[in-house]
Amino acid sequence: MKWIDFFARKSKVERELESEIGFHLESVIREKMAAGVPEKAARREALIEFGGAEQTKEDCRQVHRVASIENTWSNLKSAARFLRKSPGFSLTVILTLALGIGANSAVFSAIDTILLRPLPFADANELVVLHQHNRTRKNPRGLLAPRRLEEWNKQNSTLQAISGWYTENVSESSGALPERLLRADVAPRFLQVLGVRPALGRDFTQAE
Amino acid sequence: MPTEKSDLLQGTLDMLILKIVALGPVHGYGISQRIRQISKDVLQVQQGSLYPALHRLERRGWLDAEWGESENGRQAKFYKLSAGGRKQLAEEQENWQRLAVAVSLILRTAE
Repeated sequence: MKWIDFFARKSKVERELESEIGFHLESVIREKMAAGVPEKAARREALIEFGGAEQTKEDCRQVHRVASIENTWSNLKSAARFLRKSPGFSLTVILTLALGIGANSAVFSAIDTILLRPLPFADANELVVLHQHNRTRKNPRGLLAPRRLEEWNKQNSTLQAISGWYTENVSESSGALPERLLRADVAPRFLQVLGVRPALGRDFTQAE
Repeated sequence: MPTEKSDLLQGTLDMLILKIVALGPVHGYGISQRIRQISKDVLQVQQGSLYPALHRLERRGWLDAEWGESENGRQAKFYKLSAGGRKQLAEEQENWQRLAVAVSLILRTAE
């Protein structure tokens, strides 16, 4: 049911209630006047006899309210019954909804992290990734020699600076048990390019 | 007051309304008039219980309501019996007869 209908219906109930009770009072007054009671007194007596027109209206409204609640409840019950009666159909619908919602939220979280949320670096939009591409090799995207990186950086006039990194797994064996660490060997200017400061200590100098 | 008024038994109001409405389309005021007249002033329905009952019966689908012109030219809500209401009335009447017979049996033997 549309909301506009819901409110329209409510006011219709209200209008009709007003008119129905009004008609009753009017009729009682007429009856009394026909019996010779003056209009004012007849109206007063009718109202007294009626015994709380507002209360009567409220009781009528309550009937409609309870009925709406009962309708909602019985709709829910018949929905549950229908789902139970045709489990194949229900399962299909539920799975379709689940997959639909799941796929959507997965795609959206991917889009959110990849496209919408910026990288956690200052001026992240100025960061680019450079690769060396050698078609003659079997694996054309190979590693870059540090010396070549320095050459690139010297000849570059497009970017502010170029840096690089290389990661490998190493063992930390100073404790009782060895621990695996991920070590990154970085080229000069690495932290400046990313625009971050070390959490502890100081950045490398050019001489180092 | 010509005669002593009797309180309606719980649940009999619905049956009386259905019965009156079964005689032909009638508005709320007419229903209260007829109950009073037919019962020779013994039964008098309080408006405060009549109208909620009418709305309840309409909601249950036992009564159909329609706006029409009353005897004095005013718009009034006329109630008439639906097919479901007819069935309900028959059931309630049967129940009532059974109950009345049972109660009077007990009253007679207890004397």
